[in-house]
This record gives sequence, structure tokens and C-alpha cells, in this order.
Amino acid sequence: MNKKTGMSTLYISICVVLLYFIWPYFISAILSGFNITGDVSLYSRLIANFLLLLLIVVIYLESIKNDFKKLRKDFKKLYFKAGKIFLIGFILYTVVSAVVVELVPNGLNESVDSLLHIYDKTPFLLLLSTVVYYPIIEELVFKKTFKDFIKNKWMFIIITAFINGAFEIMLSYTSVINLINIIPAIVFYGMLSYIYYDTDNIIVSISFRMMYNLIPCIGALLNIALILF
Amino acid sequence: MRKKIKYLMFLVAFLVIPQKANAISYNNTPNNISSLTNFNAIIQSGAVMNNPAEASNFNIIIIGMIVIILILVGAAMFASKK
Repeated sequence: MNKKTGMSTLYISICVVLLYFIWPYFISAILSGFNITGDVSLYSRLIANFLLLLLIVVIYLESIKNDFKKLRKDFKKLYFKAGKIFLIGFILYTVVSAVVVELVPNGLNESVDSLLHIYDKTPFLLLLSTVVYYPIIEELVFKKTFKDFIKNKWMFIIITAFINGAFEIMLSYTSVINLINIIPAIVFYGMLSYIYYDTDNIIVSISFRMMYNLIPCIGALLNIALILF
Repeated sequence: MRKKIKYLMFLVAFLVIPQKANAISYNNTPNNISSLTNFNAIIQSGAVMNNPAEASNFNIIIIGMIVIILILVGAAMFASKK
């Protein structure tokens, strides 16, 4: 990467990060300006989220297109490689998570609770958010933006996993004890960063996260169905 | 046929286990069961949930944004030197 391309990539990355973090406040100001509350606000926020997703996808469109091309060529090879990493990472994550739950039974991951709480009456939105919106946007913002600059494998994995995990837990915690969940979150996001670094294809890590998110999401939806009926 | 049955069993386990675990963990009785059986607490799908109404979130966002931008600028400078 020459200096000029490097600078423009840096500006784009900073713009994506700023856009991602400022967007909810911008939408919130518009909604409160129009006095929109309740279910309408929920749907409006979801539409706004998907608009943001579209913007970020458009920013990275060229790179995403290339990744799709590469994926079509080496589909089996890439997924086999990523599958192995996912399996090892998933086992590690489960063990770390189980140890954390065993040691600190009251240390809840409030991010999950707030997700379920927000969408408990609109399960379809829960599915749409956790299986489509969050995997794509978080992989693009927390991983793609760093990939062009951090060349060292472990540095990339540690930094991206820590940032993603820390934001997830810190934005929803109410008790200091719940911060313990940063550890399993880092392991989980580290596994996805490893997949992205090794395959050099963001679509692979996005699809693995989508597939993973589908498991607890189906569980939560069935649970909501059980409560409702 | 055997393969199909295996896939079907796998699918059923995939759907039923989280449901059972969720039913346990979200029945307001998380303290009555062993936390290791609390599947829902172990297998989670979290996301970065930023509620703009929370004032404390704004501080975290500002600090986080500064940290991310510093890392990006630092890494870009380091990469261009190399």
C-alpha cells in the first residue's frame, strides 16, 4: 500500500468508525424530534440500522465484491479452513464461558438480556437483527477497518477481539461483576478475527457469525413462543 | 437413509437443547439450577447494543472512538514506515 492509498484508506476507516458510533445518536435525535416512541420507534430504529449497514456496505463494496469472487473460487477450501478454526474456537469459548459462569454465577451478559428485552414482542426483528444486521456491521466495523493497517496476525486478533468484546459488555453492564463476561467475549471475537485473518475473506467470518447467532436466537425465539402461547 | 436420520437427529438436538435450556434459564429460577447446565448463559449471541438514552454510554463511546482512531492512525503510521 503506497502512502496516498494508505491515507485514503485511513480516512475511510475513521469515517466508518465515526459513522457507526454517531449514527444511533443522530437517529435518536430525529425520533425524539418527531416524538416517535413505542413500536414505531423500534421499527424506525431497525430501518435506520439497515440504512447504516447499507452505507457501510457501499463504502466497502469493492472489497466485498472481491471477497465474494474469491469465495466462489475457493468455497470448499476456505470453509474447511474456517470450520476447523471455528470448531477449536467454539470449544475454547464454551470452556471459558462455562468456567466464568461457574465462578461468577451472577455475572450476566446484559447485552443478551437487553437484546431479548427490546425484541421480546417482535421476535422477527430479533432474528433479523442478530442473524443479519449485527454480524455484518460488527465484522465490517471492528475487523475490516483494522485489517488494512494491522499486519501482525496476533496483534490484529487481540486488538479487534478486545475492542469488539469490550464494547459489547461495557455498553450494557450495570454491575462491575458483569464485566467478567469480557473474557469469553474476547475469546469468541478472537476466533472470528482468526478466521478473517487466515482466510482473508470477510464473507467467511460474517457467515460463521451468522450461523452461530442462529443457535441461541432460535432458542430465544422458541422460548418467547413458549411464554406467549 | 441412515445419513438422513443422523442429520434429522442432529437438527432436532440443535433445536431442542437451546429451547430447553432457555426455558430453564428464563423461568426466573437461574439460581436454583447448576450454572453449568445453564446452556443459555454459556452459549450466547451478544451484540454491541448502544442505547443513546444512557448518559454513561456516551462517555464510553467517546473514549472508545478516540482509542480506535488512535490505534488506526498509529497502525497506519507504523505500516507506512515499514
